[in-house]
Amino acid sequence: MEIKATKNGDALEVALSGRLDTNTSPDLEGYLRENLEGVASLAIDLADTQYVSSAGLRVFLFAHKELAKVGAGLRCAIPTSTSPTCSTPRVSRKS
Amino acid sequence: MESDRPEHNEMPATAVRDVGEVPVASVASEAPQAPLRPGWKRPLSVFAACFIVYLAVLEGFLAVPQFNDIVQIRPASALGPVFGLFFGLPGVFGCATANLVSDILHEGATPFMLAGYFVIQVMYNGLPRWAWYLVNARSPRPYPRFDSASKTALYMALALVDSVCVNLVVYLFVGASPESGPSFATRGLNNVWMLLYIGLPLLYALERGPLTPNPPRWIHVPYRNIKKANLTQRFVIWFVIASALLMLLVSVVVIAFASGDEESFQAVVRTMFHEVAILTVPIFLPMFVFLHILERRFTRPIEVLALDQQTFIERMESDVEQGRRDTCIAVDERGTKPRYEIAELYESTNKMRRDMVGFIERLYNVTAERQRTATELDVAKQIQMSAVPHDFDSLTERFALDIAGFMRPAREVGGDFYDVFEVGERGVAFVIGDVSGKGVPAALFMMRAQSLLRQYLLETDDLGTAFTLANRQLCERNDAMLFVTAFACVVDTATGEVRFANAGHNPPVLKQNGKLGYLACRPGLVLGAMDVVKYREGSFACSPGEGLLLYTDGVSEAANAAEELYGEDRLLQTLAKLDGGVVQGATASTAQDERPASADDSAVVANGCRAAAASSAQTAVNSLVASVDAFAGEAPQADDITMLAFRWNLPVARLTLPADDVELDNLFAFLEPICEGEGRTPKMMAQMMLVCEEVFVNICHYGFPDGQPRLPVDIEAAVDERAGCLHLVFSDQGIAYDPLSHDAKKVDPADEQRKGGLGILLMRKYMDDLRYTRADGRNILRMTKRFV
Repeated sequence: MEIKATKNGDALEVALSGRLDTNTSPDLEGYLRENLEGVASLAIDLADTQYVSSAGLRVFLFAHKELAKVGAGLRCAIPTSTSPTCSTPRVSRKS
Repeated sequence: MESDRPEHNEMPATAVRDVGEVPVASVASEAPQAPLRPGWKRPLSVFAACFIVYLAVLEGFLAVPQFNDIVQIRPASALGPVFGLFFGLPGVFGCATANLVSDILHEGATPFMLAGYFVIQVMYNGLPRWAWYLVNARSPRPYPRFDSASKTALYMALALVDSVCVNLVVYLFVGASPESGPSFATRGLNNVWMLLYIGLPLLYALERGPLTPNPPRWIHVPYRNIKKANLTQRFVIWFVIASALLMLLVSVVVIAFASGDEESFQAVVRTMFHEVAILTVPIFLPMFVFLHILERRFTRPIEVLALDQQTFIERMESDVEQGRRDTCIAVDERGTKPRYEIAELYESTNKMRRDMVGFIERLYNVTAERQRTATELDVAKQIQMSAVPHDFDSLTERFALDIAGFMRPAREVGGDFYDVFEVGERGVAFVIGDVSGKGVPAALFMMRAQSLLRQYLLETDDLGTAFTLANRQLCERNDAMLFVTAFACVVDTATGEVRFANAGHNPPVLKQNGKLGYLACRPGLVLGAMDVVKYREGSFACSPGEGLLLYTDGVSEAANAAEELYGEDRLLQTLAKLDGGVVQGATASTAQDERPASADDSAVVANGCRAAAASSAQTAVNSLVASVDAFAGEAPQADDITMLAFRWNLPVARLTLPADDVELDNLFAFLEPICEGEGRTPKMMAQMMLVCEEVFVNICHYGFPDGQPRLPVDIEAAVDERAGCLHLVFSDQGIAYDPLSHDAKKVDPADEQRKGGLGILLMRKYMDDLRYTRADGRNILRMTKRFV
């Protein structure tokens, strides 16, 4: 999985390409742990992500929790095409 | 004179030559047909032979002076008539010519006298012959054979007549004086004696010998040389020989003691002659009477009986064939009136015949009855055999099931049955049953039980209820108190779930998780015993490649000559041998990648599908049948043998992975081809990946707490294109954990614990069927997903 990050001041944009599963989510988690300092908004672009498993969702939840501490928000850009993981929105947004 | 008796061995319609043919010089039963006209060779040689013999005998005895002159002991006088009687004209003339020659040599008579003597001799030689054949012209056996008293008497009479005639003629011819009368009388007596004591045995010998008598033209019956002498013949010949010897002895004694005086010698001999002549009458007369009685009362009835016996069975058979019912069983007496012991013999023979005919009739009826019964049983067997399914092609095409059945009754019909039929949309039912007993009663009950079970299994969803209802019906109108053990299961061909019910039947062999064992099920009571019994359904999950083998106790209780039983253990071993052998063979046959025996750390991706190589249901059934037959050997089949096997025949792809997260990529690589193909979508693939990741990661993270060795995880996948679904099995050796035992609850994101949680939700949402079992220290999770 590739992580492409763009920082615009305190807005962080992370574009993920590939699969976000048990093995690859620690990578994202690790990256976020390092780079969430002073971030006011986080946007995750999943246009190029074919697969997100519950491990990936946990990373999002973790990110969400961390940002919530500082009053920041998390935005996920989920492609509206017939991507397979589109069927999971309800689960992924469970909170 | 000749009584009309059946001849020995003379069967009608056997080789009778053309009428009018003259028999030739060969035994009738041997030689081929001879030309119609006799050649000149035989008569000439006969003539010559008779001539030589006669002359030799005549001259020989003439040389002895005591035998001549007045005494005239001339054995030659027997030869003429006998040869004439037997050989005909050659014999007559041969002897007469020899006599002529002798006369020429000794008598010194005029040619006129010689001619006269010659003529007289011819007459003497020929008279017995023509007289004999004239008397016997109409007789069925005209030949000179002394097989009856009457024929013997005829010969003796002819001998007497011939001697008297010839001597009278000679007396007149030579114009002898009345004083020489006694000497003629003596001559006459000599002739009679010789004809009797020498002629008769000679004739007997000639007739019994290889030569054939030559009859005159008016005789048309061909000569048959009968090898065996009958009682009369034997009696006559021995009597004659005995009396001849006696006479000879007396003569010798007398001659020895008589003085050399010619006169007294002659007187002695003359006296001897007269005495012998006189004695002959009282000797031979009783003989005839006795012989006649013997013939009438004993010999002839016995001959008649013997002849009748020879053709009795033949006649009976032909009468039966032609349907005649009025045949005479008793011996045809043909005019004889059996008396004394012979009458007893006739009676007992007739009784035996009647008893035998009755016996044969009864036997025939019994056989016909048995034949009828056998035919009916044949039809019954046909009916029974066609009542159980043999052709499973339609089911095999529609569902991924490999099915094989086998049934062999111990008798023509039996009490076992099996059945296979569709239930609902995707269920297939397998039923097996065993009625108590064997043969026709069990077969009748079997037909009832089979149709009842089928009916209720089709109508009722729950198998326990189906059995309960069927049982109630079977208990009704069961006066013969028969019962039946039965096992039935319904396979859901989409999910692999198998529901079953058992009524006292031996549990089937279950092939599960690569192992063979007996299905654990409650025994239940037999059907047809008590109508208040309630049955309950059980169930288990079947994975692709797994199956059941149902059987009846005719298999496990097959006995060999030593009365050992085949047994359940041997059954398992026989089936296990099949799988073990074939799997190794399959590994070799499928391409190059070799799967190591125990996959410890190295992960190997399964090489394609190997399910087709596993033993098919038919192979299992065939090998089991062969094994039971080999075990039983010569011992007769004690009970009906029935088997029904099925296997969920989906190609199974297998993968073994170490229990580590990093292997997840390999798992996805394994899933990819399975989720591609007809009916499957990328969406489905993603769903499968999600679920599999959850399951696999759970095992890795929580299956092996510290200290536990991390054992590999086995994954099996099978695609059922026809049913449009996909089956997955995860089998791990971690600690006991049932992921389905927790509710799919709403997860608090703050909830870090992974017991239950999102994973379970995903599994339940995306998979259509989930089953968990724990067996042999393994957690086994089976999942089914319909194509999306």
